[in-house]
Amino acid sequence: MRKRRVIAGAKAEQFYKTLLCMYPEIYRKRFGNEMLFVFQDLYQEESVNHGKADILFWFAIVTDTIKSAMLQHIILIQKHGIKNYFHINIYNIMGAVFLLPFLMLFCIDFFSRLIQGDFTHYNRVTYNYISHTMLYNTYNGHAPLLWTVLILAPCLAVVINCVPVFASVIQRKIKSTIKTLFLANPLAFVIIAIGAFCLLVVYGHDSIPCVMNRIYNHGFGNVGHMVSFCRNA
Amino acid sequence: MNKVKTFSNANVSLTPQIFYILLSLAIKERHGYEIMKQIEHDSNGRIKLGPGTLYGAVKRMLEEKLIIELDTQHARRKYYKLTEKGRTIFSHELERYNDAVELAKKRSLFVKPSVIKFAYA
Repeated sequence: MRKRRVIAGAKAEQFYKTLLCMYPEIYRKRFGNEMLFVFQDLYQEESVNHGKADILFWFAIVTDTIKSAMLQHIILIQKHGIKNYFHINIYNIMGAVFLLPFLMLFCIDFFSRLIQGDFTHYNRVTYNYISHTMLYNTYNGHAPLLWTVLILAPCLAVVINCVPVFASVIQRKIKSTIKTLFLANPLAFVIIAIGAFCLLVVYGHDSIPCVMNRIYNHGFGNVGHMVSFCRNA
Repeated sequence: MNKVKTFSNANVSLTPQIFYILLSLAIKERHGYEIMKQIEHDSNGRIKLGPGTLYGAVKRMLEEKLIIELDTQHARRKYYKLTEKGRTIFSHELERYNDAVELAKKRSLFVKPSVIKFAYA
């Protein structure tokens, strides 16, 4: 019984340590250990009083952490300014500009499919409207603008935002880890991730709606059947 | 212009959390968990601070020099102590509360619990 309680305590501590990652690094370095000690005391008290930590205890801890972490980030943004806080550079801005048309098209497509209640097929009204815009103008059987928006621009956004990341690697040489690189270029990582997501959507533009449709209609049951069904969608 | 209100300005009233932290440290120096428990006790359980809120307030109070960290041999815990500035601001706040209570008494604004019960019955 006691052994089980110790294991639960270690897991709770690990979970709280993960929660502490939400705080700005400078704050975490200064107060992180002390907050962990206070949490340990609270957890121990809760375990002694109620046998184990209940859902209300965890709810209070998680909401308290989220609220205070957000507050600390806001304080830092006010202190350093949004540009310095996120390390915004020209690469990030260019990447965001390249991704914007794709994301707009994606949102229009997603919500139009959501409204019709069928993710497998595109919304005909929306498609009719978009297909008559300059996006679908063809030259020699190709639609260069559509191709640029869907493939070239996300690729460029990813490539451009790799530049500051590689620059950091070169500057720091051996010391760079994924974490330090992310902290140095948070927006570059976000844009690379969004760009990769865009390219994944383009690659699986038939199978992804199929999977979403299956989840929408049948839930998460029988994943194997869903994969085989949508693989050749 | 600095948007953050500093407590050195006498017109700025303390937040309940900061007031109760000052109250708990007015008697003796304490560490985080002790402060938390003392606040719960002093407020009759009405104010329960989580570690995040507590250390957010502690950070602000350290920046404003209302409290200081004590250099103790105890490696695990950090103890906090009220500074002179903290004590002065706390006294001003108590005076303000006292004035308000006196005024309320003069104007007979205090209502007995039985009357409140009658009013809501």
